Amino acid sequence: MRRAALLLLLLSALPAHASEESQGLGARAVVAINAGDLAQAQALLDRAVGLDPKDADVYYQRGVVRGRLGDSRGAIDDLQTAIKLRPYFPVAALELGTALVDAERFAEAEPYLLQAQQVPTLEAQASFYLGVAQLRLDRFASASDNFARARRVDPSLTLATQYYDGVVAYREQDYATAETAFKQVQADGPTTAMAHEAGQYLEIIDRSRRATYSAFGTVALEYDSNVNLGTNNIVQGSVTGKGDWRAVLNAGGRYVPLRWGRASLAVSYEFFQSLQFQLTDFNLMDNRPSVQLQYDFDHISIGMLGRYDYYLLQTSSFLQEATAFPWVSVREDGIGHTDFYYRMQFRHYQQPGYTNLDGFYNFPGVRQFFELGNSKRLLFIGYQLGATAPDLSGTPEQEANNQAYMYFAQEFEIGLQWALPYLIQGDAAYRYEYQAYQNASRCFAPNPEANCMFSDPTAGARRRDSDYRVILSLERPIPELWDHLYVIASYFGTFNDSNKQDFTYNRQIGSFGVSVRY
Amino acid sequence: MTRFSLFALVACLGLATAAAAQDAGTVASLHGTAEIGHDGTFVAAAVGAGVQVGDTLRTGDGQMRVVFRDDSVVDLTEHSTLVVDKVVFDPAGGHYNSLVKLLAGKARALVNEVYGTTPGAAYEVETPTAVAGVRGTSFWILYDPARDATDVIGIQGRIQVRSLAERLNNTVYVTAAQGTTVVRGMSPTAPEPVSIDYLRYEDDALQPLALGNVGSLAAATGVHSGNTVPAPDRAPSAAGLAGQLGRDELRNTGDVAGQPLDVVGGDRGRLGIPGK
Repeated sequence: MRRAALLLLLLSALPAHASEESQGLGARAVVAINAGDLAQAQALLDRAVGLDPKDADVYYQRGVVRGRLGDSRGAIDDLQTAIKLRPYFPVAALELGTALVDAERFAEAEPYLLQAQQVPTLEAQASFYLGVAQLRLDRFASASDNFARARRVDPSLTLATQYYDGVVAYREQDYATAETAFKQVQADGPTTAMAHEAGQYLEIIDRSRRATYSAFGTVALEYDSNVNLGTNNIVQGSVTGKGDWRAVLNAGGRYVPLRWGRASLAVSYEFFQSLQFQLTDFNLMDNRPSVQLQYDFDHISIGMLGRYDYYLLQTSSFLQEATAFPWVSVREDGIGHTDFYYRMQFRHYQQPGYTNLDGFYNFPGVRQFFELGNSKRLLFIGYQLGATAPDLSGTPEQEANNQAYMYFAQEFEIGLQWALPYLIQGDAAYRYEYQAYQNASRCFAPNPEANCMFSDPTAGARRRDSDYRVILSLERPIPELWDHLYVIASYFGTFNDSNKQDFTYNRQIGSFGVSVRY
Repeated sequence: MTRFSLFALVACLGLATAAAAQDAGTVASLHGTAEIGHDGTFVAAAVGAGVQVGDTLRTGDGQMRVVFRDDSVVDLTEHSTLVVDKVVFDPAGGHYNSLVKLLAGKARALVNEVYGTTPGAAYEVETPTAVAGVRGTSFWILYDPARDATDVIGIQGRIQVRSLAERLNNTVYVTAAQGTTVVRGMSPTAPEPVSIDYLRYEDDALQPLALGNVGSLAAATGVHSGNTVPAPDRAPSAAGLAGQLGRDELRNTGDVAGQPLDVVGGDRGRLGIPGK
């Protein structure tokens, strides 16, 4: 020891005098802390900091004391100073991260908690608070990983981390997992505050599952770059090519009057009204009653939806539409789910000119959803066939006109549903549909000859449309104001390219709405 | 409260105060295991435990920091033994006289400045071969039984070091970053410089003691134990979920082929009449 010590050379000055004094005060402060006298400890540490403003230890100690005294801001200031003086200071980083989480500065807390997490003795607590921070940042997958890590390192955290697993699952709307976690909390720590709160969660889930009513109402302001009633320019002026603002109201309710085990019957009604600012001829109203019978197997749900729509253009009857909609949804554990459906519709228009569109519309399709980490992050791809069967009950001329709108279509789609930070749910989708029309469509411009559809098959090409659609949507609940309140912003773009000039058009809609859901 | 119970409470408080007054010091920090011996019986040391005159402090694989009544601080490193021989701390009478004996191992002492400013005050650390007299300063002192020698290294201030052999009257003064060695029966060596790196290395080894157990902000909240639920993580209002569940049911299964995106206005608001 002596040789080793004395042979070394003096390289630089020793710590300043104040550092020794500040350490002495720090030691006395620790005694005061452990005696429960935090005020005395703070007074000693105030003196220590005054004597040596570069002593990271006493800043750390005072930070913890101030935090324990409820001075969150003071604690954060001191702990930040401690880490500024000593950048690698894991125990201070842990306390700073914890204090920042407590102050709801979650993103700021992360790097400090990550530093502390690398130290084995601090790993459990750092992982736990990292999980809390990520939960509050809506990064549910990361939060779950860190809760599991905390539990693995320190089994005494099992109760608390199970509770948070339940909260994460609830926030992800995975209610089955949430129920399992909350029930485990109740079993493991029945007298704890978390068990009590877990009971609250369970009651909410159970009560909501048994709820027989739900309702919603949405008001929105939209801008439509090309106001129209459909994509076919079947009546002069029905595709305006003009932009206009409109207000939209959409409201409805659902009632489940009957449940028999896994079977249920639901009835619903929905009302829709658009009010154009300028082009008021295009104000549209819809009344939509529907009924659905559903049966749930373990991994498969089947259903039959029947729906009726009655549209009015301003105050005049415009369209009646009946829909039959059988469907099957297959859940694949750990992958997602697959939906198969067949949408059959019969449309009967009430105004002259539009009746050429009367007939049956058939859309069978399949859509596969892939869960990317959790149920709120989905990638989906879909394929749908479309085939129309027009009403051919009229005169030969009417029959010919109706046949001009018969088509066969194939649609491909891909989309993403993603839980973003700040509780925002983002949706994005892209669709492409190719429509091949019948021979009768040859007579559309640029070949508008009267008999082109039958007598002169070489008069022109059949109509072919390529329809591209882009959909973007962001939705966020506003629990800060009301648990039932949501805001929604969306964009919808349609780009229809046809070899018949009357049918080529673009349409873009921007929408911002507020929704209330019960 | 009856008169008797009030008397009993006062009596108990008085006894507790008297017991606390007898403590020469308090265990401020622990890192690993250490023991306190009193009247020949050793018990595990704990943060906040009192240390009395005559007690023996012993570390195994751990370290221990004791803050004495006179505000002096002694850190004992691993495998060390120290006896608290005398602690006289009488600010009213101006009497300050302390003696601790390092029987084995290594200690770091930070001594109250009062010893340097009060005439007649003495703070001494004695080993089997040497005595370090201190007046408001800090230093390392190590006694190695194998060599039967004591090393004293100054951290700050001026330390008087002499041999325990009474026939010798040689005294040396060690200042900051100087060291001396006292082998049994011999005079202290002339002070020599010591590397700052060495001192930093030793100080770093005591870092856990320096931080001490100041508690944890997390533990203070009770979230770990499940006894507190922060407001953001509590169960929300019940009413919102029913609509959400109903809506999910419709969205996920009731209209599988409908618009997967819940955009305001639905198809009708965007497309006019759905389909073609």
